[in-house]
Amino acid sequence: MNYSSELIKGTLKTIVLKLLADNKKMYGYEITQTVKEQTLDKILITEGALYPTLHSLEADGLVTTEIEFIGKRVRKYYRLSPQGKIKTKEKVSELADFMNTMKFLLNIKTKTV
Amino acid sequence: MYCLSDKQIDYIINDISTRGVEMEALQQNLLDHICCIVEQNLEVDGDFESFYQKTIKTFYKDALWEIEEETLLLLTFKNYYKMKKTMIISGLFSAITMTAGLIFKFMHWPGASPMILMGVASLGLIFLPLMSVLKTKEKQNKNDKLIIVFGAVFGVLISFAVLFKIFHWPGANIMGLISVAIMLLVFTPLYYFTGIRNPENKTNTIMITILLVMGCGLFLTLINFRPGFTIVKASEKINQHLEECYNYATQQNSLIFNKTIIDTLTNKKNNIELNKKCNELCNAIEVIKLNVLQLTEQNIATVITYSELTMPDNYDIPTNILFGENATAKPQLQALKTNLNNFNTFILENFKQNSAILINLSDITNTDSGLPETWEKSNYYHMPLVCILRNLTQLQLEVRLIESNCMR
Repeated sequence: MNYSSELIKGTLKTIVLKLLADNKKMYGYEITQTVKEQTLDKILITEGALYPTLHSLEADGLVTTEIEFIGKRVRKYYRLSPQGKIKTKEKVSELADFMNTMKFLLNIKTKTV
Repeated sequence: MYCLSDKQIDYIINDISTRGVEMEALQQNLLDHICCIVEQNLEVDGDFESFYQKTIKTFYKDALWEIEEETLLLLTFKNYYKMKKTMIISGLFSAITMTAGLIFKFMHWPGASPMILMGVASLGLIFLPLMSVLKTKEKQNKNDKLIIVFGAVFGVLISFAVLFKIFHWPGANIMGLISVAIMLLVFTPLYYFTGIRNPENKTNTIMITILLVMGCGLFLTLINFRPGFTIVKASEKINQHLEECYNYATQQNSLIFNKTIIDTLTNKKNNIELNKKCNELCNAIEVIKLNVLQLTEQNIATVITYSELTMPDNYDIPTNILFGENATAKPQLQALKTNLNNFNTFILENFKQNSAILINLSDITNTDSGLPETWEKSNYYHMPLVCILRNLTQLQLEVRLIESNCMR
């Protein structure tokens, strides 16, 4: 089962930040593949969602980039900035907290139904 | 693993660009991504082109440029809160300075003009553009976006038109007319036909459309694009009357002059000289009158018909004709002043006249500033066309009156 794009959109920044925190530097395709493998194909990040998010993280100063030339093409690696490392912790704990709340909220609802 | 050739890489980058992705960084991202997919998933002897076309389609819903649009949206969204804050602050600032400026203006306190200027500038250059950018982002429908854009353009133009009107700067009327035209011919129809389609908004749309049309009507009446009818009529009468007086004086003088020529007792030589000088002066003034009239009204009239003036209240063009930089009179007006001065001297030297009857060319105190002003500035600077014509006819009449006094 694939999760809906709405769910992924809201958590994509956190996913990318956490991956970068664990892997030092990554490029776009690598990020999509790692997520796919780790979630057993449950979360598939689309290119249309990933690159806008990466550009936005870069503009916010949360990630830095470095370029590697592979023949005629350029590969852009993304790496967390010091500011990004702090933000990752915040984001991950916020999402964990949110998941707990949701669990609690939805459990209550299931009980009342 | 498939190995991509340089030609194939060029093909991909060209295709990405043709599909509307213009940001170079994004092009490079997508290129590398596609290359990775091709290299990982295509068989060594696979068909590159068909595989590429199939892959690229998985990147988007309707078109590839959606990715760029989404990127730009996220990048500008970062500034959303800053923009919103600036919008609110500039709006508040504009409302406060404009209200204070208007109160100061009514009370004739100093500092009113800069306040009004700052208020309108902040409204038209910061608040309205920011509001339209933020609001268009919130709307999905193309028509709704257009309504906001045209509304903002109207707002900017109308606020500057009012500002220009208050400060008597040229271009106020045309700006006001363009803004009302945008409101009546573009904004209102767009607003009406977009709103009327929605049954929930039908009554509201009709009501607001009526209010908009009425508002524009009221504005046109209030802004006074043309001077008041009564004022135009009154100045027409004054000018005609003065012109008649002058013509009558000219005729009478001519009769007296003809008599004095025959009369051996009078000083013939002086009278002939006087008549010559008066005629020259009056003709020179007539030339200035026609010159100002023709250039202001853009016609080639050789006779002034006061009832047919199309721009009786225009003061920009006459001022530009008669004055140069720093409100200094142009040669035409300077020459007139010199001639009048010479005329005064001639009268004093040749006729035993009281100097009170001479043409007064001395500086005059400005009633607003309390400072002395030159004769030319006081009579002709920033004066509407009708007043300039009146003042010049008055001058011709004065010359004729002096002539008649001297010939007695």
